[in-house]
Amino acid sequence: MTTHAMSCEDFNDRLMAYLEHETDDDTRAAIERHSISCGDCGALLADLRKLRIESANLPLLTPSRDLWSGIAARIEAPVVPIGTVRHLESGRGTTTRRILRGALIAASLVGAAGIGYLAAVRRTPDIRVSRPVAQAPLTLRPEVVEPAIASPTGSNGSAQVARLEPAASEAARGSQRSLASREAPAGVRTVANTASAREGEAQTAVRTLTADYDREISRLRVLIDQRRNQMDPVTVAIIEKNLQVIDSAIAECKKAIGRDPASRFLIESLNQSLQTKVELMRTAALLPSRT
Amino acid sequence: MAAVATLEATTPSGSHRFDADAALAAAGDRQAFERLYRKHMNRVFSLCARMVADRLRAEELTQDVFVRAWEKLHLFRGESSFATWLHRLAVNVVLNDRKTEGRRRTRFEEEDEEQGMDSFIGVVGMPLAPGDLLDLEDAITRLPPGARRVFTLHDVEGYKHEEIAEMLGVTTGATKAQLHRARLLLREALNR
Repeated sequence: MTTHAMSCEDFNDRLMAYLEHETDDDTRAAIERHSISCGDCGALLADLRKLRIESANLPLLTPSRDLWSGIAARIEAPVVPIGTVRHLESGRGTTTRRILRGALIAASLVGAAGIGYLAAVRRTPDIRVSRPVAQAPLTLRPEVVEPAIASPTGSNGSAQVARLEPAASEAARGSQRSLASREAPAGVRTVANTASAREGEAQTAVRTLTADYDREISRLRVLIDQRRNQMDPVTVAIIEKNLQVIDSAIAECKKAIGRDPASRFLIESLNQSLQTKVELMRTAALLPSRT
Repeated sequence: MAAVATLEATTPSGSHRFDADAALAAAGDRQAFERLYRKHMNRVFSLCARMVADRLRAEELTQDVFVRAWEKLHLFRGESSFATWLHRLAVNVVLNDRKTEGRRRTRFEEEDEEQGMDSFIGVVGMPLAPGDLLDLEDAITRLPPGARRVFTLHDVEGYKHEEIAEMLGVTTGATKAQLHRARLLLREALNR
């Protein structure tokens, strides 16, 4: 049996493998012999063994505050039953892609709201001009009523419309019923009265539609504001910019509905704008910190 | 009770028991999820704090880990214990955060990697004065980031080199070298 003395350099070269139990028996024996004969290397080996034991037995650390409230707020179940947030749950898609998607939707909403607004503006003077003041009974033009009765169209509109039914469509139907009741020759109404009634109906429709969304938006706003410092400033800026675009779309929709309260298209546009806003805010609220 | 008994039955391998709260949480029970949080938060926080050497950041990351766990719970099949699954998720969250942060800090971190413990400013924000006595916890926070991550994962958390290499996208040779360096730096810091 050979017992070659191991140098300190050899000892250091093999020490890592020795500690990881990756050396053969001969090398192991040589290292242990050297650690006994060499004071410095022996001390090094003893320190590293002690370090391993202490590291594996470090006590658990405790956060300085309760973190649950922040977690609970971020995982809280949605208030508005929106079915198109599956992409959030699935975790697919990058943050950037989601935000860019939000921007595209926001831009398209502004366009849609603008078109709706122009359509409403173009339609409204018709009513005013075609009826002499305080003479003819108010008759409803078919093209004004039609969108409120017709089935929703559009490639991605079906889910939105289904959700619209309980709140906004009810308001739209109320608006339609109210308008239809004026078809009967019940008497003479002034344009001023009609305008006032229409404005009231529009406000009711908008109020009904936005009530749930507003609650959810307020809740999400608080959450996002609380997390603002944890998120990347560039991401926050993009989100806020997108929210501004969506807000302008919402404002356009509301304005257009004020002029044409029976327009289902406009109410759907408003619904879609609000939903886009909620989705974007939920995405922001769920974003990991500093992303 | 029968359902719980079933859920807690040992797996075919017998190596762990399925966590009933994990199953309930996966089905959307937030109270069960809160119980899981209370049970595992310190371990997750400890991992985060030691990996990033910044307690405030570690608290944010701990929240991220549990939010992510809530989102991913439906993918938990009970093939490992919930603690193991959650811990691995936590490592991924921390390492992904490192990648995000790394884009901004790459240059600084590379410089840190070239330097020893003396030049590294740890969580307390103060350089180490000569003669100061560090405890192990403080000394870990003062390690260079690369060495600290490998040391934490291997010596504190008990992961194998192969696992760490896979997590970090490096070779086992690199993780062994980092670990050895970390141990030597810690010894030096603790013995000064």
